[in-house]
Amino acid sequence: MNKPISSPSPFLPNSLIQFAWDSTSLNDFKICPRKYYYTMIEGWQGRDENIHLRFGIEYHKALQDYDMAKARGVGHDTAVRMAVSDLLIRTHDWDPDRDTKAGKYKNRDSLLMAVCWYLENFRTDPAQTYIMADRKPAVELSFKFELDWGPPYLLCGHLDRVVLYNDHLFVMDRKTTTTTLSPYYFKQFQPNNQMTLYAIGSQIVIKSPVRGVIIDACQLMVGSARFVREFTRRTKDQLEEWLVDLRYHLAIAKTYADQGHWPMNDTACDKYGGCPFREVCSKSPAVRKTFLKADFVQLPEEERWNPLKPR
Amino acid sequence: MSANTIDELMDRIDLSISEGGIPSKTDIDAVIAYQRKMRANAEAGIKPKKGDSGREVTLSLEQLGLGQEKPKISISRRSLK
Repeated sequence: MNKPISSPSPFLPNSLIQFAWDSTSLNDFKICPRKYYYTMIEGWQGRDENIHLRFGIEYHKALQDYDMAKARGVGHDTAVRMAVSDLLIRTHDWDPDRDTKAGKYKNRDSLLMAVCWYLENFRTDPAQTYIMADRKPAVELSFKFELDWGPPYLLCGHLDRVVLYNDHLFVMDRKTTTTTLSPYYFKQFQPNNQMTLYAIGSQIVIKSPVRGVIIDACQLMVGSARFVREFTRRTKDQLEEWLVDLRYHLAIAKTYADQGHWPMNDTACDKYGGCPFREVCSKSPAVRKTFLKADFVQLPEEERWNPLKPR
Repeated sequence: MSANTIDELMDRIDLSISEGGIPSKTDIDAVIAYQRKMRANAEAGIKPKKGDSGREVTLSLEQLGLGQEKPKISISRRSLK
């Protein structure tokens, strides 16, 4: 992995008021302010988290390399070869512990499988990379825009790709999961904080109406993978409603930061597959730090999640 | 391509990377062909054989050049008095 590039802090100077928000930090805050405190403010990360992050980064990078090559007019087989060759070089030293649950499903071999199978699965894809006004392909786009209310707030994010599908623009988001790809899995995307933010962010970058998000989900199994594509649409009214709600959420976030207290949402501990901090929160406040140190690593500031970090 | 062959192929690719080179076009194409075959098998409902799911390296003493000759069993008959 490359050495982390130092980025400006997402917090206002001399405060814990976060001004640059992305879907990850906003998601954590909406789920549970205490979870947000542990991850964003204190920088604790589960020991398995690195495996998920690295797998996700490499999966997206390989598919992005393929998309970029295709947009330059390179043929399918050559584009696959280029993406796979670079993937193997980048991950040469990556050898996660396969005895962990994360490493069992997410390792270099399953990464190679997921990339190759995805590109074969969508070999003749009706979704085509959108070419923007500046002739650049709309692949791995970053967006950052200021809200018209403050204290100055920035909304940031990275889009995998914007595509033309049946003459309509969609953001494409690729997910990997070990969960079965059922209608129940896809229900989580409507309503959904990340997908709505992407629908808003994409319109800022593309400067055209975007219908919603195409989710290309990959279910990872040991020795196999399957892919399902679903659509999640957003109307203009839904996007506006989300922005109105955001104003309330960020006002509450500022209040917590001003008071230096992020309360626990004890109704969310079992949601989304169970909060990683559940064991910590279940302990008496005085001993929580000991349990945090045992099961998590506190990242140095430059390695913590930062919505302002470029990709 | 068997699990052992893909292991050998991946080892060759990794060796060339660790020596500062880039994997050969032929080797990368072979890896892609293997993955396509695995996917086609999965689509056809053919379950991967043990050893195909991960890179289970099977080693034998012979492969390591440490093979030993099997002990010869000799049967000596005592002559009956």
